[in-house]
Order: sequence, then structure tokens, then C-alpha cells
Amino acid sequence: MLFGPLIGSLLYMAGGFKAPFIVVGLILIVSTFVLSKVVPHETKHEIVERFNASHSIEVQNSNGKDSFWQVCSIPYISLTIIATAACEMGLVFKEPIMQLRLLHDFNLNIGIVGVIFSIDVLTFCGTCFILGRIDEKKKPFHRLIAAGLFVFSLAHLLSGPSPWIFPDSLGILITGSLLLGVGGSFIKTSSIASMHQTYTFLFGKTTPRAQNAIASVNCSGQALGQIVGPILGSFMTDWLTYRLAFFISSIMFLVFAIVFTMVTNCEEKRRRGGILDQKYTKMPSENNGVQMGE
Amino acid sequence: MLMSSICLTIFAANSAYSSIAPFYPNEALAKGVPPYTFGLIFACYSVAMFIASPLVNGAMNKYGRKKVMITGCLCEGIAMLAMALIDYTDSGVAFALLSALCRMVEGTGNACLNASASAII
Repeated sequence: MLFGPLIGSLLYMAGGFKAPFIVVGLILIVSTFVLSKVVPHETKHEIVERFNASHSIEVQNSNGKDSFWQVCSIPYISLTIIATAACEMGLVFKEPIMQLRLLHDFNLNIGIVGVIFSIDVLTFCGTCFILGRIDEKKKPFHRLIAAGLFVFSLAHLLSGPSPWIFPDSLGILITGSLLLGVGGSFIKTSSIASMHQTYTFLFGKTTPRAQNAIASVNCSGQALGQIVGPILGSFMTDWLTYRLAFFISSIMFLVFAIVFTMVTNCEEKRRRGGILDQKYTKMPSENNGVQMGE
Repeated sequence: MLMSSICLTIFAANSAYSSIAPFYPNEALAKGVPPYTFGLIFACYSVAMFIASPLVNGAMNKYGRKKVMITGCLCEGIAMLAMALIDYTDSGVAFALLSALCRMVEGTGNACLNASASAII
């Protein structure tokens, strides 16, 4: 998603309006055939479970909490969805407004605009690689999400750049874009893993149906952010100014980051309590099948 | 091979969302589309994605992840090719409406592709 503007502007310069659509469209159609050959067929267990689900037969392994809305109703998962939506919102907030600002206020050409749009990609890719290593070892998913929200707040403050605090400079705007990539990677690498972690903690394991539900829930969270981001960006810029719009969104991120941190700290304490309860109430052999979140 | 194919497809599919950002507003402005609708046209993709996500979950349970993924990829590819053709319209209203329609089909396809890819991985 973050590479899109760079690809779009390069193809647009090379072949006009049609080129980006034709190239990406053809890539996707070719990918369809590749995927049909490469993606494996489902396992026997998955086919049985799907058959049971489509014929309303209760699945033996199901814990009754694996539909889309049931997964959404788990409080910590719903908070993570909001964080995912906020992350997407923060990333695409600039999409409809930054082009005109860079073209008219900073007198840049369309190629440079595409490059600036894609600056956050560099930091996003780099940070994702590092975070992947940290996530594998320590699994501090909710802390990374909270950190990502704080970074987003700072990034939006710089992306304006915010009036009263920073001068109107292209350098500060680019620094903001760099930080957007960092914040985005913090949240995106952790959100789906965090939801799986919570689900596993609550129900002991995930079923294929629960995996489908979590993937769909994450997708809808992203979509929600993508809906709100451009609309909010264009309307706020229309009513206020570009710089003020980013300043207000920065405050929104700061407030949400604080709320998220407070809630996750409570959740963490509750989980620790849950682990202790299970330690003292179950025999070691009974604990074997239960995978704790942390 | 599986992972790289899925990652490359997701890369192309997700870039479809934002690839129009650097050039679309100027082109739409030249066709007479009012600037306040840009955000709405951009958001059509995500609205469709948001609406389709719960349905995609049901489809994955019923038809399987692979079929949903392939359908989504094909759907998004065709919608992208269709969007190239709207350049031939002269009317600003037609340009905006057709853009919105194509973006909605793309968004639905992306919901299928993204959710099924996450579940498969």
C-alpha cells in the first residue's frame, strides 16, 4: 500500500493515466493463475470443518467463539481493531491532500511527489524486518502497538508541520513521513499476532474458523481506517488548513495512545493473574494443552 | 514459492489502493470533478472492503480460502483494467461515478485477497 504512490507516479510519467491501471491489473491477473497453481488445497481437517460449518453442524473442536462478530466482541481484540483502523487512518490521511500541497506550496514535480509519498515505505520496510525479530523472541505485541500510536502522534505533528510549533519546512514534513513508516510498522506487525495471542489465551487454541475470523476482522479494521483517513483528511483540510488538520489528528493519536496504554496495562495485569490462577488451580498435566499468551 | 507468490500478489493488490494518489486528483480536476469528492472516491475502495470483510469470512468457511483468494485477485485485476478505460469519458460526473464503481469492485476483491492470504499464511 505504501509503495503504491511511487509505482503510480513512475508509471504515470511513463505512460499517462492508463499505464498504472493496465500494469497493476495485468500483474494481478497473472498472479491469479500463479496462485491457482501454487496455493495448496485444504487439508482433510479443514474440508471437514468447512463442511460442518456450511451444514450448521457443531464442530467438535469449536469453542463457539469463532464467528466474525463473536471475535469482534472480545474486548481486547476490538481495541486492537481500533488501533489497526487508527494505523491505517494515519497512513492514508495524507493521500488526497498532500499531492496538491507539495505541487502548489513547495513547487515540486510529480515524480518528486511520488518519492515523498513513498518515504515512509523505506522506514516501514526496515523497521518491519527488525520488529519481526523482536516479535519472534519476546512477543511484546500490545506494547509495540502502543508505541506505534505514540510515534504516529509525533509523525502527524511533524507532517503538517504543525503550526505554532514548527516552521513550514519540507524537511520537517519529510521527517514526519519517515516516522509514519516507523509507527505503521510497529502496529501492523503486531496487530494480527496480538489478536491471535489474545484468542489463544482465552480459549487455549485457535481453530481454522477462528483464524479466518481474525483475518477478516483485521481486514475490516484496515478498511475502516482507510475509509475514515482520506475523508477526514480532505474535509479537515477543506474547513481548516493542511497544517492544522495534521495538528488535530496528532492530538487524536496522542489521546488514543494514552487510552490504549492504560487499557493494555490493565489487561496485562489481568492476564498475569489468570496465569497464576491456572498455575495454582490445575495440575501440571492439565496445563499441557494450554498455550499462554505470554 | 508459496510465500513469495502471496507476498508479491498482496504487494500488487495493495499498491492498487494508493497508486492513484499522486496523479488522480489532477486528472479528475481536469475532467471537472469537484475536489471535495476526491476523498469519497478514494474511500469507496475501503467502504467496499469494510462491507465485504464479514462476508469474506463466511465465504472462506463455506468455499475455502483458496477459492476466495483467487476470486478476489481476479476481481481486483479486472477492476484495475476497467479503471484504465474511464479516461475515455469526457463528463466529470461519469468519470467520478465510474471511478467510484471500479474502486468498489477493487475493494471487494482486496478484502477477499487480504483476508484469505492472512488466514493461509
